[in-house]
Amino acid sequence: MKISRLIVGAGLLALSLMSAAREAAPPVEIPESDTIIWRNTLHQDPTTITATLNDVRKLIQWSQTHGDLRALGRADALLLQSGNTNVESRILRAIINQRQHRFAEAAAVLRGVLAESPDHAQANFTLYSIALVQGDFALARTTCQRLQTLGFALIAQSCLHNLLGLEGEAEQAFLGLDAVVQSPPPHTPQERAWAAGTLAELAAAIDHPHTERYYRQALQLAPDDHYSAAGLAQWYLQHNQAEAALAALADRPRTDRLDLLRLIAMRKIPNIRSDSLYRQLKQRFESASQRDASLHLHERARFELDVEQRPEEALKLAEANYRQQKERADFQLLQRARQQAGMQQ
Amino acid sequence: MKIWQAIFLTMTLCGTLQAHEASTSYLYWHSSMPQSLRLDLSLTDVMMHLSDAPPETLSWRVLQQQARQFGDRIAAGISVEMDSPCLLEARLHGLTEYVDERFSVWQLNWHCTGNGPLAPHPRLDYQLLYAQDTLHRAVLSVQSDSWPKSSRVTVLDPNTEPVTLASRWRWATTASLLMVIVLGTLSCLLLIRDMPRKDAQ
Repeated sequence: MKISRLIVGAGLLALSLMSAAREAAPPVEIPESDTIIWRNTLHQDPTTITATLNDVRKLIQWSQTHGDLRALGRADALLLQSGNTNVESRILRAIINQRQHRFAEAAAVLRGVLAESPDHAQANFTLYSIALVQGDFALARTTCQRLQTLGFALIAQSCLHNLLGLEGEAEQAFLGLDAVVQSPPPHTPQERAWAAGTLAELAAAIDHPHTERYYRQALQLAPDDHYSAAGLAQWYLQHNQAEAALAALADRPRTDRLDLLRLIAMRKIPNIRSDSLYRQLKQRFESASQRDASLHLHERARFELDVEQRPEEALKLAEANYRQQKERADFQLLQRARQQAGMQQ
Repeated sequence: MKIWQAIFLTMTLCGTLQAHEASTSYLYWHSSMPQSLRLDLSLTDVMMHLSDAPPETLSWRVLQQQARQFGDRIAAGISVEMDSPCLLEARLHGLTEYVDERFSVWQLNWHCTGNGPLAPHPRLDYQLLYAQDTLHRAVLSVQSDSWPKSSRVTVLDPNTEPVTLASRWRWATTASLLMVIVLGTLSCLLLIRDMPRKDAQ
């Protein structure tokens, strides 16, 4: 009996080894000679880019706004070529690592920078956002308070209230930040826009009836803030306003998160075909996870939960994502996946 | 506080929206054509990194006209060696599609000295585009149609050591089949040994 089990087991092992996944190349086409096969949508003429820190910053900003990882890879390559190891270069490297979800590496670099220059605003700021993602609220608070002493009063108030909200006092955090925003300390337009975005997020967290208005105010101050646009679309979806969600995402980039929200909205609107977007997203996630399984976890979990209706798969991905990043949206997704997976059992 | 810092400060706090546009190339090697490789490289990467002056639009005719220049640059970023480095050339073969991007298809052929039945498997060292984009990755698919059939996929990054173009699965599969045969023989022997005892009862 034992021997036959062993034989069957060994046979199965052999079969599983033989049926390893096959990767077929897609078919090749030869177009007509004059067919236009590519259009230049590059953001910058590559020949004009030099290995200066300013170019690296521009590329990171482009990548941030447009979700373009090619620009981030170019920024990293330029930084390497520049050979700089000064404070500014190290901070830019930390930001690039942060964008690639290498949070521990980024935090280590920033801690090193802050040990030398504790009052460096950008280093404090970036470390605050990394600490937040890692769920290290004590470090987030320290860096945030340091920003207060450096003169970034509105930013400091925003991040302190955001932390309060994350620690379970969302209503108090909303009311507190709302009061600050009504009569704000001296600030730049960008700082005002960021405070407005945080306030809108807190409003959504407590399901404030005027959440839409807060998001609209934030987007008026920073029209390219796709993160807030995604927050607004999400709020519309939660309140069964799929058309409004779709409209909130109009003319914004084709990032995975925004496209996923578009797909979820389209599936709720009668007479709108979403098959093509569904196939595209599915292919994108498959090909992205082949490259790097640690990226796109949030979006893949949400895709499994809200599109494929597979809560158990979604839960595995949402748990893996939460081990990596612990923002409000990550926690909410994990809770929903747990709830739905529990309901299914 | 410089102006750029204030702007940058806000931008980096606006959360992360990952996109799909990271640069990826695809390599296909098949045991039936051991001295060639198919490389699929996105047209955006070709124009961004291999072209001296990207045009507003690119036609198939223009790409064909510039294919030799691009092919030389591709060959400079990829090396294959057996006993010694092989001479590699890249020829434009056509176009293909991945998700929502158009890719150029290149046929890479190499000529090595010391080819023969005892020659080692070719080793591929891929360094293309890493100097321009550190997030560039190559997805290598190695397939064998000879018995037992097998395939494996490897993601190449700047830290990847040169990869041998032969299927590891082949040896693993052969080993597991041998294991099945040995265990089968062993079980037969044990059954034969047990038979007389049953007769005695």
